[in-house]
Amino acid sequence: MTVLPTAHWAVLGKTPQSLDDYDVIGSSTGALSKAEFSDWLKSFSSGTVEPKALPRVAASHFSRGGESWLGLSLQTKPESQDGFHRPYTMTWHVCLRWEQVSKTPISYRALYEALQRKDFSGESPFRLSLRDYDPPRLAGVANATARRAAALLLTGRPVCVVRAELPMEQRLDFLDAVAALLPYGMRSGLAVSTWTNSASRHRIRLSFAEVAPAHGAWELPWERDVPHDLPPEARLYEQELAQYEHDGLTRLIRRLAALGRPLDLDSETDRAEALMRVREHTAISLASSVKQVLPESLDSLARADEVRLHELNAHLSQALDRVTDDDRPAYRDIVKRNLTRLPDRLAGSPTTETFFGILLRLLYGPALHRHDLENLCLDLGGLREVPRPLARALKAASARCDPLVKLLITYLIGDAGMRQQLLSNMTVEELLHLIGRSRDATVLDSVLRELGGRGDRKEVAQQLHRHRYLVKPISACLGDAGMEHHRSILQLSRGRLLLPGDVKEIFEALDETPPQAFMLAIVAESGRGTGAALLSGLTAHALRQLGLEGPIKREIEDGLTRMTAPALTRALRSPRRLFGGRLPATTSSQTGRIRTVQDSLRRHFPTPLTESDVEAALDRLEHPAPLADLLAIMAESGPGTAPTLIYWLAHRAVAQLNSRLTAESLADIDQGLQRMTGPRRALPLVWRSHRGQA
Amino acid sequence: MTESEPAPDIAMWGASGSGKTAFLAALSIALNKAETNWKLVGENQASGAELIKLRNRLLDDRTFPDSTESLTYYNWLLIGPPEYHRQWWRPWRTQPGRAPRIRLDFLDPRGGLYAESQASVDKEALVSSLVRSRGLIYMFDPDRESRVGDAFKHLDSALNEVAAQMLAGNEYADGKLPHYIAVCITKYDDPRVLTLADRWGLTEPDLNDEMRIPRVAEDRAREFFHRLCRHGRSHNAEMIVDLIETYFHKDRVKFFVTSSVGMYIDERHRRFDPDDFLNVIDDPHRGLMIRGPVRPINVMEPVIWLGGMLSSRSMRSGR
Ligand SMILES: Nc1nc2c(ncn2[C@@H]2O[C@H](COP(=O)(O)OP(=O)(O)O)[C@@H](O)[C@H]2O)c(=O)[nH]1
Ligand SMILES: [Mg+2]
Repeated sequence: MTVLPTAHWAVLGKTPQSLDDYDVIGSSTGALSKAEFSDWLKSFSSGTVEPKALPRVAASHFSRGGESWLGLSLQTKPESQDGFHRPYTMTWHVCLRWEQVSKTPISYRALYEALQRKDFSGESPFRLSLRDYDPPRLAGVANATARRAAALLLTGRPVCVVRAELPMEQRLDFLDAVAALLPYGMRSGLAVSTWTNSASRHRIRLSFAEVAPAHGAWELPWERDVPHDLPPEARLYEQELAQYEHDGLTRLIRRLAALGRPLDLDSETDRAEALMRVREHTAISLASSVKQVLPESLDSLARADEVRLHELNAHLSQALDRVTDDDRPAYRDIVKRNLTRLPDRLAGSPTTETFFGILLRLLYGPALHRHDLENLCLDLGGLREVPRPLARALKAASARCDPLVKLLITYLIGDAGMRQQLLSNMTVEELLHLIGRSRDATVLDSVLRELGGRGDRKEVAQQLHRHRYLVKPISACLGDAGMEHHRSILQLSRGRLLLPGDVKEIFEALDETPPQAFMLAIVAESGRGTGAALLSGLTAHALRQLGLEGPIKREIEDGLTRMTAPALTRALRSPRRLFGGRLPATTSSQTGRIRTVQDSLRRHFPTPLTESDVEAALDRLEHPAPLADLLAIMAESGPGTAPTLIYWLAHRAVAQLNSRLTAESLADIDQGLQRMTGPRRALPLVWRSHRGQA
Repeated sequence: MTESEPAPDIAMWGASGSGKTAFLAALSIALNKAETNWKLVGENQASGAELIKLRNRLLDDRTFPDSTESLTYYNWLLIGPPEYHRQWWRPWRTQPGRAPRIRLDFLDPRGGLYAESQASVDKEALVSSLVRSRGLIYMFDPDRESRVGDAFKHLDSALNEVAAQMLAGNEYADGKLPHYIAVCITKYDDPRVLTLADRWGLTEPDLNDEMRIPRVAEDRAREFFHRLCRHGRSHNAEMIVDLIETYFHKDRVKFFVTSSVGMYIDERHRRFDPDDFLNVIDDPHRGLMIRGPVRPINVMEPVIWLGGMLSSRSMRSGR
């Protein structure tokens, strides 16, 4: 009994022998006038009484002059008769300002009990000593009928409970429980009564009655699960409430009691707010309950307490749909700290498998992503290896994952059969996509193996072409070590040594200058006479990369044409000069730089350059050789110089990748070069020595 | 809330305690008594339940209904006996026709409602239903009139409200309300009422009635009403008849002398006994009790009169 607010009051009734109707025959002064009380009480009449309706308790609301009131009245059995010898009842009414009521929640029951202790005489307001709001008690009363009534009130229509044979106090508690299942602020506009007469046009929203009124009200039979076609707003609310029982319901009621902002049941937005608030609470309480339950689950796992684990599984699985991404880090942390080993006894248990299934969804959400798998290895690292139930849970979870994650899961759980099946069910296109997305050498190998086994070469070739020979994914995941993979792709796409036309096509498919490893792969895979195609492919990309256009581009292309022409072609040459140090480079713009190098070449060599001049010029380039300088040399080169440049380029690439190349690869490159440029030249021995040094 | 509901066909009105609810309770008994084969049923669950409650109250509990606390609607259906048609081309066969149905939507207010000065939810609903209804039952309680004398005040304020809403437009060019109105003098069984009728020479024994209960002839009811008004406490009451006839078409007003419970008749003699006809007695333990069988007088008649007028009128006007 802590709350002691000041209440105003009124008495509605008759005086003995009076010939008049019911009216306010006494009231407190200072807040509401007699007429106002009369207005209030008459407009919230529960209808003409019948003996079984008495005593009757009703709560209602009133506002006047910007002030809102909440009132409760008790109508007692007749003790006297009016002038027509009709027994009449007395209605004892107390009311509080909403402002006061909203500060500390007050139940109807508490008001009723306080009212009974009062003496309605004189004119002054009195203090009510009110019992504390009692959520556990309310939760105990909130049965299925109460939940449904609360849900139905959210349709905006009145609710009438029928077929209830209950004492008045119990009916009052029910009304309280229904109100407690809604935000407390809704009491500001909720009129309830322990009994109404349905032939009367009353404004009571929630009441018990013999039958339901003819228009607009929901008829709700007491404790009978009549299948209602509930409108969505009611159905959703009822579903929400259905998740709460016992302590959980007590906590929900406590939370709803704290929502004191007045809400109007006639307003659709206010009604929608109720659902929002309960959902909010659900989200919060589920998140925190997972935090409590999860450690216990892990503990029962460690203790091999399968029965308890089973119980907790049910609890956790309820939370699954509500957990948000914000909650997951905390759960992952709990698992990281508490999951150490799986007792052998649980290794084959379906309960454990279910637990892992739930765990995966709690920690990573409905579908696993690639980074989730990485996290999983960290979070479940305590297990050291993937136990069978987890493997099974992962396998089941993979159904909801994209192909790449599916494939990664097969590695994680070491299921080669599943992997094989997965891959063989995929189209070439899908497989190539997989490589594009995975950037993972293992995946790459599996897919290449799968592609190699595919019968339809042409399809594979076409798709590889479309996917630009996977140059980028391969170099992204293998970098300089990717040459053998590039070669595999080239072999897959052609199935023979490359012809000049192939090389041309391949370069056309690429959207930028290929990495060195790819160039060497082409060299190793090239057939006869492909040198020119290689050089022009490289040149085209270099031109594009430097954004060269106009005369300078033409000059370089002319140079390329000369270079690839037979060496026997004679050209007029400018006189030769002496040439010492490095080729100078001072200008910043690419064209300017090419021009400068060209000038310098012309000054030092008779142009066009012969094979030995090209070699000399290339040797004098700075390290690493700027592309522009190479193009300048090309622009000045004479017939038959292409092999020199190709060798030089290959030499440079090999030097760069040296440590990554096997002797077999080197030999293949050597042979490729020979095929490309003709047998005239042998691979310089220097390469081998470089390799030896590494 | 009221706008969407169907308009009541018949609205009741009268001061508190004038006998409205008792009249309704007696109605179904009256219909069962008369050998007319009429039935009164509830049109919906709530109205049906209320009908039974009211009837049981008079018949089983033998007491009067509770004082009405709030505006109450009764949606009842009066179903008559099927009419048998003889078809002229097959005069040897009769065909059962459709049973006549009269919708009785009664609005039973708490009596003080009309007198309340300020607007209230109930009052608005009441006035609006009066405006939308076409039949009125006006209850005049001579006993109350002799003790309080507020009938004129009530009637005047109610008519004013209704007239203000209905006659402002041009719809009723003759300046009269379109309603049929049954003016019922209630509690005729009460010795104070019966004595007056007798003293003024308005009663006559009904020769068709083996019990010879004194009646006020149909064509003298208006006069009885007029004299009761003059007899009352308030001088204004004299003007009630004028008031009614100013507001309503004279041919749409009919007067009835009614009693919900009727006279007490000793079963052994089965004759009206001027020295022992009191049917309502004050039981020291249980309050006001109905002594013998309930024999409503002129309870069904105003309703059937209104029903007939409204249905023939609705056929004419297509309403
Ligand atoms: N003697 C007699 N008394 C009646 C009759 N009808 C009503 N009363 C009395 O008048 C009181 C009020 O009647 P009621 O129907 O409640 O009036 P309402 O307020 O107009 O509904 C009843 O309690 C009875 O005491 C009647 O037909 N005869
Ligand atoms: Mg009444």
